[in-house]
Amino acid sequence: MNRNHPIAKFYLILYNLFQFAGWGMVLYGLFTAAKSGDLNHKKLYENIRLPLLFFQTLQLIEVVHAAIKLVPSSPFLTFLQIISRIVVCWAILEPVPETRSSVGLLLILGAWGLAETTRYLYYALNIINLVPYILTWCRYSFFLVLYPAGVSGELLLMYAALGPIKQRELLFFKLPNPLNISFYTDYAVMAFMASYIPFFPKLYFYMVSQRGKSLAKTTSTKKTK
Amino acid sequence: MELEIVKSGSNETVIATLFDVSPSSKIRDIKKLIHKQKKSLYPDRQALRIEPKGKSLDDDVQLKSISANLKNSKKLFLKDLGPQIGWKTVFFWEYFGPLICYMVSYTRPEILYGKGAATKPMHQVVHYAAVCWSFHYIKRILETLFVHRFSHGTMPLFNLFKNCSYYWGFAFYIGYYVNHPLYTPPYFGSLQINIGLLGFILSELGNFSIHIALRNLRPPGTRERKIPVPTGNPFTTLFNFVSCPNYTYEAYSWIFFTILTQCLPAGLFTAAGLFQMTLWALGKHRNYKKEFSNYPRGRKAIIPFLL
Repeated sequence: MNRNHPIAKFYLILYNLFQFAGWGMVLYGLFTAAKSGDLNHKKLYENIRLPLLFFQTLQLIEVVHAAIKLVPSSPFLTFLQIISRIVVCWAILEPVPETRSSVGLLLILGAWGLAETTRYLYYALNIINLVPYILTWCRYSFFLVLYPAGVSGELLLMYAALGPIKQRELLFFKLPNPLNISFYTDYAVMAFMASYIPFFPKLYFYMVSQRGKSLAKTTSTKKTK
Repeated sequence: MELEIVKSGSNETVIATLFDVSPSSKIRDIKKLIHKQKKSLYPDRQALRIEPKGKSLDDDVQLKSISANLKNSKKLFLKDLGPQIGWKTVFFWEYFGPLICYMVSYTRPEILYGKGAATKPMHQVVHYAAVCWSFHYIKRILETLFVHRFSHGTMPLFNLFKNCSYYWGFAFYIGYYVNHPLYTPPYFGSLQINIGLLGFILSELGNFSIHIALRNLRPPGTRERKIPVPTGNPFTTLFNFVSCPNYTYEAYSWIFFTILTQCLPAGLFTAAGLFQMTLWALGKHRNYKKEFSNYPRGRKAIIPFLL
């Protein structure tokens, strides 16, 4: 698929604005809760649950975008970036309601919401070459704080889920069984948490190098203009 | 002639400058000369290239055959392959480990299965599986020592850790479940066990036959390459269908081991192994086709008629 085709451009602008609006809703939910001083997590989660689950899951379509070359990123890396959040939403927050009272919820909502609104607005405007420098700067700077904050939130939520998962034996598959294999969800979550140790620095410093490149590029084009 | 050895990936960093190199010297000799100047870069650690990111030159290439292509007519790019370790050492440890890991779980240690696990009854198939497992890895160690001929002496040291964690990890993972006191024996009873056992033995024999045939294909001390063809041994007929029947038989072995034990972790090991071997086989198949214009057309890489 040629990404310069008008229909492709139109579709991508629409998609990115749609995502921008979705994460705006999540951010708005968090904002109103904070403003009313009532960070009652249960109520907050109920308010943002639908947009959060819907727009987070919808991101999977970006793997398809990458695979059909609608966007220039690698489908595998895109998948890696999305999957941890999908896991947090569908395997932690949804099945283990106890986690919703963790401060991790506030962290992920704030970090994801801010990061995604800037990112999608940047993408949408970038297609029509209308990105103001300040937005480029935000897109490539906010993550320095937001990414570690989001990851901390994800880890806190997973940690909060360990106890209830073990207590309720959620999705446990025990011996004896004819497949001669067992699965303990709490161990799987711990292994998943451990996988952040190699992956987080790798992705983080990759993004730091991207930041250097992108910001340098914009300032130099500005100068030549 | 004069040669400038430049660090690969850069255009400037000069590692060594060699004077009065004879045009008839081979890449192998140049590596030795570099080693004289740079003690840490022993020949096996070096890869020499004409372009900074080009293909590595073979040890047998003569300098005069490439000298016209060199940049500034004297530049060779050197890539440091990192610390090297002998193939045989790597193979020994990556096959010895699984033997130990599996046998440890076979004794049902208290630390894994709790008190008294060792005295609980063990199904006959668990003993068969332990024999098959040990046989396979002892065979591999012996083949490494006495059968295989390696065209390269070394590989990067990192491979030792990578390969060992793969083999040791899976050995422990499979052993843990097959030797577990709560192990569930095969659903179809002795029929399934007999099929698994017979299939495993035949596949191992097939794999061994291919290794012997490959050894005889390459006379000792040479690096000659020929198209592999079936020999008098009926197991080698598989050469008519695939380029890497040793991998095919290896995959069969693990499929039958999985049938024998009815253990999903063994199935995962089979799938992971098949995936890796398919990648290797496709690469070798491509090389054969590139090297021999008369390479048999119907031959596939690893799975007969399919892939």
